[in-house]
Amino acid sequence: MDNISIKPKRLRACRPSTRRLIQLYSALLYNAHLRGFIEGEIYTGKAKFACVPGFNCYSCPGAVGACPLGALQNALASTGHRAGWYVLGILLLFGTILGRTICGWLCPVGLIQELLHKIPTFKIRKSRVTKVLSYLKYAFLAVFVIAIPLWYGLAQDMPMPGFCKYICPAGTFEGAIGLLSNPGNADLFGMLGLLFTSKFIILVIIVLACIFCYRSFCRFVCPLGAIYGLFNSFCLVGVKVDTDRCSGCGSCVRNCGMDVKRVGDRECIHCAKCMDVCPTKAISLKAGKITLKASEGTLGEEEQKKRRNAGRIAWGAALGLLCFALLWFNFLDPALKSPKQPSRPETLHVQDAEQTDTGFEAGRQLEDFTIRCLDGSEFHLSETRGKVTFLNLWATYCTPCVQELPYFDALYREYGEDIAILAVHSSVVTDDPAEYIAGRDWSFPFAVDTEDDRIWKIVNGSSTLPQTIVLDRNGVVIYNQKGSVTPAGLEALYEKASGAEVSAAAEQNDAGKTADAYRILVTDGSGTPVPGVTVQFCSDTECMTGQTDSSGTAFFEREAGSYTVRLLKVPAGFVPDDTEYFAPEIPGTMTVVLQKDEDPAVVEEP
Amino acid sequence: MEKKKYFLILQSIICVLLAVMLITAVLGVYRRGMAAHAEDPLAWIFSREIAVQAFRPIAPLFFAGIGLAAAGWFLGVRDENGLRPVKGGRVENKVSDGKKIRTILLIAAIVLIGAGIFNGSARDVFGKAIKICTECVGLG
Ligand code: SF4
Ligand code: SF4
Ligand code: SF4
Repeated sequence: MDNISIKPKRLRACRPSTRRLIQLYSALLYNAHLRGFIEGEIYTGKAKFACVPGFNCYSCPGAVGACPLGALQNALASTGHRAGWYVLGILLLFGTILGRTICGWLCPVGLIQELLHKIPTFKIRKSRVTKVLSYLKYAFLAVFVIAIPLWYGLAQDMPMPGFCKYICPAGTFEGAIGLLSNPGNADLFGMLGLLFTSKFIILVIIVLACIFCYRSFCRFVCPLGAIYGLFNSFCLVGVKVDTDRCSGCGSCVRNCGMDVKRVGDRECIHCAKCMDVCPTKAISLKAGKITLKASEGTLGEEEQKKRRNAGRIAWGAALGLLCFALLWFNFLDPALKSPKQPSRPETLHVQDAEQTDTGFEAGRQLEDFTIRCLDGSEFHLSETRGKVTFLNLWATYCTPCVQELPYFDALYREYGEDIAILAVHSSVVTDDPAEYIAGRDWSFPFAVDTEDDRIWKIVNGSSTLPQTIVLDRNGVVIYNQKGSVTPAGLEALYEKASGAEVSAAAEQNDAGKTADAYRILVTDGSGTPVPGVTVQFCSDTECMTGQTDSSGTAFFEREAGSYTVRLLKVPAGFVPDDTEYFAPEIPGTMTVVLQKDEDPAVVEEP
Repeated sequence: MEKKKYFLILQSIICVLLAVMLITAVLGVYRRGMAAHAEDPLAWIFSREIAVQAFRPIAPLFFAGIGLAAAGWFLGVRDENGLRPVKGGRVENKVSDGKKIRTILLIAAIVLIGAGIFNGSARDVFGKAIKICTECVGLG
């Protein structure tokens, strides 16, 4: 009972400490891409070549740098291709200069844990048990950060960041929940399943542990803290003890919230809180020989004045840097994209003429494209009309991407002639995709997106991988979804895309008739194709509608017969036309010329 | 003193209860979603609407917990027991200058970073940081 107190806080006591301000500052600096939170998109500029020192997920919409732990796992997973010197060098650099000073001063996850611990509940003190538990983080480091990525990388050539995927609460909170909470990312919910459920539960348990037990994640789980701890006894910046003054009373260690055995050991986060309890004022925070923080009364008047001035200059420079970062990462960086268009995630099968304008959303006609495949052939989207088309966005460094490619291969082998599949690798290439697929017996074509991300733009690809787009036989999008697919899901999509008009085609084929394509080409007076024209194609008994693609062509799969053609909707700038044209008896190309100020004329090319 | 103790008990219970409710809610959504998914492989397990629906019954307790935490923090209620020094004897605070090893490691770090830029591992970091794979952050 004596240990519980209520003392209303005076405002002065609420003033944040310098350490808290630096923690907040670094959290803001690491996440300076504030527009990412509004747009729900991550930052993709060159700053992400660099790792930040603290634990900050690179899939957080605000993150402007890479996470050192995520980068380390991926470097280990790529060991079969190249050694991850870069990440090792960065960790060595951070560790040697700062050690776990990063944990005490520069880590957003550390800050969040300290704030959670402020929630007034009963607290669990450190003990022998917590000391033993503090070794757990080395097990997490060995198994999830080193062994799993190395094993998958070397034995299966598959990138598998074990800690990111199975444990990391920072990834769940900053990355997953950070992205999901944006209304523009409603389609991301479609991919949630067992993994999200288990990681969400881990997050809740860790949050709860941090409320009751000081910095539980840092002490028992964090592999990054475990790595930095190895540098703690010789790092440049950190708390140092003046052994001439130290009486060995142990007050520092007894008052410390971490499982330290002495000041500055592998568990110490250099927070310098023990300075306040040291009776002999033997502890100070130093950078080499320079004293950054000393106990009150240990410095002379002149020295204190000098340090105050230096502090002001340092804060001025830091605020200048923050302002620049906020400006650069939100407005000036050329890598900033324009806000994406809202997506319509539902799976639709729309044949209504009014809705089949060009777009990447379900119900829209996907813009036509041609791309050179890795085997030297060319993939023309327009040539896949009449087939169900699967487009897959992937990358060699994306685990779920490479895991699902065999499912596409199985589908391709099963339905052969009736489907078209193209897997498009991101334009960001780390390992040669041609080399990657060479050893695998995959039968469908692969391509790498163009430098200007043309395919990505056409299908509304994002910075989230993988993504699958399914088109029906008319080239209309019926599914455009981020996240992995399962074999059963692919099968269901195939059936869905085959849909009603496919069964009609099948019936015709059964009756021994040959279905063929009528191509209605719409051009302007100078012969330039006009995309976006809604074309109606009617027989005596039924009507179909379609949209001209980027080559100005609308396709209709019908056997030879007599058909009429009408242009239901023309783009702005052209004269609407309600003339009924007669298609040639034999399937082929029919050209309609649209003119701005006179009636369209018709030329027939059987 | 009793009042303060009750305050801490209440806040502790709220925190544990909230955690249990959140875990139960997410498991419930997953279980129902899987049942729907078994019938239609394209059916979503989670959706924004389902998430909002699942969180709705928890919301009052969640906000009550936040309000109580803010009040407790302002009143300075805390379990001093958690801050009390643990028992223990004297400590031997060693100091190691470590200048030599630091210099060697700093040089090694710079050499490794340079080598990493040339061997393409810097590009690996960049690639992974700008094209996130969904499962790696728990979207799966
Ligand atoms: S999931 Fe965790 S370890 Fe992985 S990149 Fe994100 S914060 Fe780093
Ligand atoms: S131990 Fe990990 S989470 Fe904790 S402060 Fe250090 S890097 Fe951050
Ligand atoms: S020993 Fe001192 S500096 Fe280190 S973590 Fe404990 S209180 Fe902080």
